[in-house]
Amino acid sequence: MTKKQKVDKDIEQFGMLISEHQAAVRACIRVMGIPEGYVDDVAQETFLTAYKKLSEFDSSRSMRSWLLGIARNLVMNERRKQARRFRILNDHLTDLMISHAVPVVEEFESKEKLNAVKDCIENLPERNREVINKKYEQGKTAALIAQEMQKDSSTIRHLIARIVTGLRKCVDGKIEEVGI
Amino acid sequence: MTDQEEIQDLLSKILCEELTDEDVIRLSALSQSNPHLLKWMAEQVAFNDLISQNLATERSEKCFVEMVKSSLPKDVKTKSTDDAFVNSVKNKLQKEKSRQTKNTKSRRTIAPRSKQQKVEKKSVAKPIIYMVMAAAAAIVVSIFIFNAFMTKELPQNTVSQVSVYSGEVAVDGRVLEAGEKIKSGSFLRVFSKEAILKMDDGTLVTVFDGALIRYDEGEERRFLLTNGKLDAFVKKQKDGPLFFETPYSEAEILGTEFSLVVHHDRAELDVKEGLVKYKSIKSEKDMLVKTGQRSSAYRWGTIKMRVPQRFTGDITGMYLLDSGNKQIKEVFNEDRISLRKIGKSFNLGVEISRNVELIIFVVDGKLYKETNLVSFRNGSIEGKVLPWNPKPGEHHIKMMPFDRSGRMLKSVSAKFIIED
Repeated sequence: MTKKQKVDKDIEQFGMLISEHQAAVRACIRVMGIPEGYVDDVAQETFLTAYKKLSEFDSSRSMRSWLLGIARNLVMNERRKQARRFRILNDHLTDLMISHAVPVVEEFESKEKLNAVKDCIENLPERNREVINKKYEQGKTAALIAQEMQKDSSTIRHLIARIVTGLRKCVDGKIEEVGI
Repeated sequence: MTDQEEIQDLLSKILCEELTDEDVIRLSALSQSNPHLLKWMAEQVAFNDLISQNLATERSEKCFVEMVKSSLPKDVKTKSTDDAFVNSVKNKLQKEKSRQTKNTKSRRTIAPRSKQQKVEKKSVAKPIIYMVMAAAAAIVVSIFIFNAFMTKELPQNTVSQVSVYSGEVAVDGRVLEAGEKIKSGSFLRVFSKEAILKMDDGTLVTVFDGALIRYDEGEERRFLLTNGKLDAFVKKQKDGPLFFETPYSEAEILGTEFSLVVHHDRAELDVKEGLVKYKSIKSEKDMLVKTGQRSSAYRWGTIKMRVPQRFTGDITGMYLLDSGNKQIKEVFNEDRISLRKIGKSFNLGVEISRNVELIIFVVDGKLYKETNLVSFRNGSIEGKVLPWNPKPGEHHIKMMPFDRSGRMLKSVSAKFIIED
């Protein structure tokens, strides 16, 4: 095997790890107070750092915990560097959530949840599905959705929170049903 | 508001990214009396991100994995020779596959009874011939796809018309030397403050620090800017248009000067000279963008034009002045001013009508003297003004003109962005 083939094989194998853990890493970064628009940026840095430090990984440990630890350190650096704080929603929120993010996401069966989310969204009433699509698929802000639907911005904000809470219950129910 | 309502309100603000400092103080106070609150909040936000990953196409798993893989350096010593690592990856994958199979089986068991019965009925009735037909159809489709797309595949790793003119550009973790040709299909990352790529016809593309760009040369010639900013001076294209693509837009160029910036939710095109056809990738709506115009293509498919707003009333224009008080260019509301182009010593001058006796400037909430910001009439500026060095970032300026009797005339507000 040539050196290039070896490198390509490494990247392919690493791609599999990214695929397995990306949902949890991204969710964890979001919990630590990184705005949605910058989550992928920080997650990419997490995997890049992991790839560079792969030789330091202790294979007796959980890969997910290791990756979440890297993500946590990156967010803490972000919090420290004044110049990069624009990638943080609110400094104090990060301080509050940083200790909760990793334990919550570590137990997260994100792959299964991702599949179940799809089913639950399909079962939403049409109006709620429209709001969810506007927010997540089209990336619109609550204010913009409110303007389009001729509603008050806080009404839409609360509706989004209610839908998310409802979807979570639906997903938890489905996962419990299939006994994962 | 009850505690429960307050918690729901805070959650909605976190999800919609509208949280203020006061809200965080409220959250902190509530978490004192409710020890599980922050954990619950963390679970809700994590779940919210899963919904986003599920619905936003550009946040899909496949897109993300490819994005990360393309940015991985190729000169890093990994554990490829370490069997333990390879085995752990294999084990994890096998585990993953078996979990997915289990998941599929389990999913069937939770399907509604009628649906489940139909599934079982169908599976029993499936004759082998269907499978043979499906296999044959798959082969036909594969051949079709191969003919339709693979033959059009861009020639990978062939030397292109583009070379590095200046700056530090890395491909696959290796920094290219000045004058080195770029292989078609390679991802380039810029490490210096800026890097200039030169095409054989003299076209210059300046790519700024942190940008990730790919150049493809096949039937079409295409730059793909995935993030960051570029400025381009494109010579007249004789062999058809040159395309500049971003995750949200496509610009068709025949010969012009423009800049392109990718933000997290939009791609912004500023045409400095010429005419550009600018298209949203999502909605496929397009528009022609002329000299001095800016167009933004948003990730949800909207494409909007912003025509520079001229000042009206007693303040008729705003200009950039050099250290010798010479006008460099006119500045419009929401304009970007690049320090790289004009140097760090400059001034803003405001053209006023005869009615104005005095003008007061408020920049970012601070009062400014006329020695820093100047006003002038009929293009003539008298006296020497001090250089003004605003920091990079967004600045808000309010101009309040007064007449001879001390009466305030209509004030004008503008925003401008200083770029490093």
